[in-house]
Amino acid sequence: MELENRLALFREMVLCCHTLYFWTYDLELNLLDSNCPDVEMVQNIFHMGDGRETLLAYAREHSKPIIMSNMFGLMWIAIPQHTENAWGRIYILGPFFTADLSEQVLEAALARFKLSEPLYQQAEHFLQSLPVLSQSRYFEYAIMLYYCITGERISVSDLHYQESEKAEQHARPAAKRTADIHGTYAMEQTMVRMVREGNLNIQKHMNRIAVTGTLGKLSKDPDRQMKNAMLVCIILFSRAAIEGGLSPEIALTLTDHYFQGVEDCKTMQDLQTLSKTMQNDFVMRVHRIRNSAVSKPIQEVCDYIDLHLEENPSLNVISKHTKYSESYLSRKFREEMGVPVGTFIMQRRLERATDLLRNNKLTVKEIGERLKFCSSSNFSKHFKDVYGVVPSEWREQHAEKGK
Amino acid sequence: MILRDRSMLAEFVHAAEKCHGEVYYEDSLGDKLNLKSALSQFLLTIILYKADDVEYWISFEEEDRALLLPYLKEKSDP
Repeated sequence: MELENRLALFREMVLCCHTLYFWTYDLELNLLDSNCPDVEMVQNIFHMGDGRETLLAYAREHSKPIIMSNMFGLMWIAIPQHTENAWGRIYILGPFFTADLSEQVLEAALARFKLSEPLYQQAEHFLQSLPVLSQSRYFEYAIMLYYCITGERISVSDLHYQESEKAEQHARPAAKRTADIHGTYAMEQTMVRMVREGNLNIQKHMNRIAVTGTLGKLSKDPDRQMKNAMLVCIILFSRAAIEGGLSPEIALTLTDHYFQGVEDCKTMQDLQTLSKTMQNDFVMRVHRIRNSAVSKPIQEVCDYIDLHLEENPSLNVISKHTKYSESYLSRKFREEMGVPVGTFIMQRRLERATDLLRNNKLTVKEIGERLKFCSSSNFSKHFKDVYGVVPSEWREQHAEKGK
Repeated sequence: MILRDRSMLAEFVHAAEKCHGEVYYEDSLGDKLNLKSALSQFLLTIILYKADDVEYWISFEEEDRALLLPYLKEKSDP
């Protein structure tokens, strides 16, 4: 596909999700094309501060994407394209706000100006028309746009960031920083409350805030920044879950588990997936506790089983761990859950097997071993008893559905 | 005085930043913006493009006239 067609497709795809505009400049920053309806106005905003000079200087020496931020937190992704002839280009995507410098923060700053009502409404209307992207989302757009232009795959660590003393000063004035922190703190409090309540709508809320938010600069390396932010998030979730009724031991075990998971993540996508799993895991557990008729001892047993599925825990081990006698647990579990402990464990192991089968990285044999089935045939037999097909067939069927 | 051409807004704002004295946007609705502030410059852009029927004027210190004049005109000028 020709470059222009690729860019046109990319432009349309981005517009499916965000009103994010595409700009094409020559290497002297003369505008050649844009799909923005307010070309002149937005260009004026871009040219204020030292964005223009910074980009021109950057484009002379680099070709990787640069994330630009102007004096009031509006952002752009810019990618210079150098060609052998004189027809180099600079492609720009933006403007947008990042979630930690959201339009609400800027709106709050505007409110201090005590503008007349008509002007305030115009300003507010314009701000609300700008998209708000999470950090991971605009990283992805930068990487994808670069691929569109060059056919070369890059990672987050290849991205550059505008480093202008002037922009830095303006972008983070003391008053604004305070407002940002307040905004993020409010968002964080909502998040913590939702976890504590086991509120299943938490994903909607999390979609509004970036993984990193305004947690501050946790690392100079963007990958590490995301990982550190995720670690902070895990701690907040686990503590809120404890307040919501989850046993501290379970919460701390989960914290260790997800901490390890974060370190094992190789890509931003892995981190995103893990983040979502972690959020749902904590919230679902609190939700179950708060909305279940199951008694606390049995809930503890269920949690223990969930956390130790890959060890295929015996009733004896569970009994020692929970400090209830085997006979009491056996009777109580059956009364409340309707099935014996052993049957419940088998059900949960097979459910976990389906999760692992969806992930094509492990073979059926490896999954069987991981879940402590005594042999592949034993795993297949139990699996077929519940799902009607052997694991490999199940994987094929679900791979087809996923295509 | 008002802006000669709003397409020169970014250049005007850069010139305003270099002025010795303050440069203000004022309008008939009672708004007053100090154009050395980044947020005011942002607001001015929105005002000029989205609320262009508002009667406004730019005020500045006499000593900065030469710096700003290339971007400004009298309201009565065509």
